[in-house]
Amino acid sequence: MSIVLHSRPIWEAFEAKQEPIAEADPAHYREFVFRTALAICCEPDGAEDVTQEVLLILFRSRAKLAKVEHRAAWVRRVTVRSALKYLSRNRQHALLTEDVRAGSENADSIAVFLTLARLTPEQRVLLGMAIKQGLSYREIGEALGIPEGTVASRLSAAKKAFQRMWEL
Amino acid sequence: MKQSDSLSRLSEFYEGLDSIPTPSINVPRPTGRLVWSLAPLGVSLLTIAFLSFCASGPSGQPARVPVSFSLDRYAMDELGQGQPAPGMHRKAMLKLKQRTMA
Repeated sequence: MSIVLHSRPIWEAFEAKQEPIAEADPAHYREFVFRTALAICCEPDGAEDVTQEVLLILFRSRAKLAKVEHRAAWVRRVTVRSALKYLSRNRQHALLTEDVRAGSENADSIAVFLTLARLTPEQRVLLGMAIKQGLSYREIGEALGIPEGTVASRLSAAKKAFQRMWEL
Repeated sequence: MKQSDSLSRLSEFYEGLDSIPTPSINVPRPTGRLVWSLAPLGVSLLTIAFLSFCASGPSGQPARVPVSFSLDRYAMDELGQGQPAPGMHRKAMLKLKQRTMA
């Protein structure tokens, strides 16, 4: 009689048993939400705060999340709204910490960050989604709840505003 | 030219954000099942607490004694013993009480 021993460690067997996270599970969107929030907030602390808030909203609305057809678009819309609220709340704070940030990070990055901080929250959202994430006007319009033509004009205005602030 | 320069700086800044790792954010998990599984225990504890409150008398006074115990006490007094008569049936105690009341 031979005794067959399991060669794999216990934790490997445990990991193998782990089921993939369902698409309707809020945990499935952690990375997606954080990257979207980071593109808008441009700082990890703010992006983390927004991600926490969005995951909580997704958890509370998980029944709705399970029914929604385009989940990614819906989650992006929730993230953009939360990020807009965060930027509106912390706009003054971002300007006040100018000295602290200037001494701790790369000078060019600080200059860009402070220029972005002078823009309106919506302009930051538009730049982040268009330039950082490379989303189409339609996708940006869906996230912000505005028509594509409005996205084009406001994005153009946001780029001009960034240039104007950059030159100051 | 100036706009493209400022936008290229912006693009570089955005590319730098990719190096930031995703933090380990705790995702809330459903607790509904756990809450409902603990419901019977909660109801039992509430019932016990309510009955204890009802049984307790005003502050400084002993708790109200249930009827069955008063019969035992009556039987003890009647028989003049320190404890209920061994093997005394509940019906016998009731008869004893009725006789005394009459």
